[in-house]
Amino acid sequence: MMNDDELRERFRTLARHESNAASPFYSEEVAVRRALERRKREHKQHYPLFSLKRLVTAAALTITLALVLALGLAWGTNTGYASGLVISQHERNQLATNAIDISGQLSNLRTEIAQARNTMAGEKTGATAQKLLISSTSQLQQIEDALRHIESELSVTRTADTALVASTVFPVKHALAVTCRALALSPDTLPPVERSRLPGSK
Amino acid sequence: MADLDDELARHHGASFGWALVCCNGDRSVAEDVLQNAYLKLYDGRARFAGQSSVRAFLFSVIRRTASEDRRRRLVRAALSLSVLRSEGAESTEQVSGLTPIIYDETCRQLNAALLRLSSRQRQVIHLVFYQELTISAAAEILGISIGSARTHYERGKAQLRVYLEDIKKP
Repeated sequence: MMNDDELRERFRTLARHESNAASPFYSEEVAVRRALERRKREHKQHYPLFSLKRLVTAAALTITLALVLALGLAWGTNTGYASGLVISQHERNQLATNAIDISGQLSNLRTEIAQARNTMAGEKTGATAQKLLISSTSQLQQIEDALRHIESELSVTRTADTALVASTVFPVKHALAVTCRALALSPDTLPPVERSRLPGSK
Repeated sequence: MADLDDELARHHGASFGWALVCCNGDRSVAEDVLQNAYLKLYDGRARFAGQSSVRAFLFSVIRRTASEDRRRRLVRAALSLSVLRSEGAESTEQVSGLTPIIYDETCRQLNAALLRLSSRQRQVIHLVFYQELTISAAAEILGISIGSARTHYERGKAQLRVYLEDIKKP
């Protein structure tokens, strides 16, 4: 183990080596650094971080950005979204026109049936004719019931179609609407008269 | 100003040695820290109040400047993510254009042993043995109590002896 004096001697040798290796002291070098620092400080004073020019530039940029975004929003609404609205409105109108046509045809049919009933009621000759009249009347009644059912279904379909067009924007709602519609038209929900007309029913 | 020049020139060699210790032996950083410390003194950002010796005051300024420099480097390294790159250390050594300090074998052994000490122990040992200051002066420069400085001195000295013996063994 070395004592303190030996250690001190070693450190003295080390100090000699390092002192010789040190760059010479130049006050000029410090003066140059000082001048550079002063210049940097002056630059900071002339161009501070929150100068009026910078603030104005930042505000102008923010306003421009907001304007561009607003413009884009308005343009998008007037083109994409609006065209979507027009298409759905057009489809709805087409559906309504179709429904009106079918209603017109049904009312014509109803009128014809009423006329047939009146004609048959006027021809009261014999028991056979009476029986034929009764059976014809019941058949007419059935046809009328069927007509009424078709009409009510039409009105339901019209509302469902409107909802369907509106729901196409959301796929889940669209799927639900399709399923509910299919369930509503299933044979179990039909009245007995309609059910008997379906293929395979007794 | 002329007085300050003379004082700085007189203590320049010792100041460089102290700056080397404060910068963990990195010569280019030590030179930079030393110049920045001088700049502080010239600018009046560090003022000598006459409470201690000029040398102790100069060493305190150097130590503070080295700490600030280390912090700044750490922040820069964190911001530039260079700490994540393993080749960062190699590149900094390559750009240093200063001639290396030539040590003899005993000095090299001493430096190797000193590097194994903790930073605080190394600084106290340096101030007492290299700069030949008292423990109280060392405590003043480091901004710690005399008791702490003495503890660091005793432990550092014991560790240094052990390390030097270890290095001597083949």
